[in-house]
Amino acid sequence: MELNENQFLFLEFLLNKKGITEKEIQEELLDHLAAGVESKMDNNILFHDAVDETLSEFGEDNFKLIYNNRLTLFNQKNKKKMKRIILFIFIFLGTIILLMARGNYWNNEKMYADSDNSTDINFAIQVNQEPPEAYPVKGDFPITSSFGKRLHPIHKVMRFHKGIDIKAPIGTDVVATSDGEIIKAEIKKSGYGIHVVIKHDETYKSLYAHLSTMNVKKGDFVKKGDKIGEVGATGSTVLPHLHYEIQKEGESVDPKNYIRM
Amino acid sequence: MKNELIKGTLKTIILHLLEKEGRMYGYEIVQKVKSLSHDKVLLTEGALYPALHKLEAEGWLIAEKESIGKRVRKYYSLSKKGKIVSKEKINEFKEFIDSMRLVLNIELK
Repeated sequence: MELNENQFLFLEFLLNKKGITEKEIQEELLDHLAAGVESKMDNNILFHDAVDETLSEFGEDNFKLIYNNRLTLFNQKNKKKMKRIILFIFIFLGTIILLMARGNYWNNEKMYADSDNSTDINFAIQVNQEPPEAYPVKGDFPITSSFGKRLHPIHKVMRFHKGIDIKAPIGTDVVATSDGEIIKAEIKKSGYGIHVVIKHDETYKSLYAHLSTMNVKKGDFVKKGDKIGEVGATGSTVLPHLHYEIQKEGESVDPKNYIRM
Repeated sequence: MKNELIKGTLKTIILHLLEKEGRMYGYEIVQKVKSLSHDKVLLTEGALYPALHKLEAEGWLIAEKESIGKRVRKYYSLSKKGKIVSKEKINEFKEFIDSMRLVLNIELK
């Protein structure tokens, strides 16, 4: 037997009174209650008694259980949705920041040149150069002081001479002894005076000191034989000459063993 | 029958019934379980509907609504995933029964 409209409305009214108002769940419970009442009325029980019996069978707790569960489920779904949205936003922003940082890294030449970070230089020089083997001054000028212990010409004490001296007039061209990057081009009043350091690869560096002028600046790349400056007498020296050093893995070595004329 | 015992198997019961019957609505499931168990297993609505809604949210059940006038009936049926899970649950339960028989030393009639 099917409930008439008034009987159905009465059940709906009861559910509303119990606070079950969410459409989705109300519809389902209403159908459930109606089906229960109908089956009791089929056994010749009057509508109101059938409703009372059905409701007591159902029990208050069950209404609450169903309703609360529905709400938690709903909240969980929303939470999951929110989590997904937040995650998406983070990934999106992260990607943009990464792209921007990358663009900056490649485009900003200044940052690249000014960086003291050796990994940047690794990038520039990947292949090992030949050891610096050219003669550092243009022209046939002699080595006047060798590598090793010697009496210091100014301080008059035994000092270790970390390079060689080549006597040449002021203005003689000083050239790079192998390809590389200028990592130092400095002017100092004492010591090396105006001096240049070339990094050839991860192993070798060469140093040219007491120059009168420099033709390069830090970050420049030079080829073997390129002019980098001119012989002078700047820094701690009396006579014009070039002081030339080779460093192998940070240790000074005798340039004489490298020079091939 | 004790509620705690039914609770652990409720999902298995629902999935299995829907596999056999195709599609059912809440009240129908309660009645079917009651008659199959000779009135021994009485599902409470407070357990059944939350379970149905959870299974639906899980994607194992598909819900369809049919309305006659003001009255709306919600039918449940198994999704593709639900069909696979249903078989898994039945096997799990069979294993459970076998293990319990050994543990509790129950002789089958």
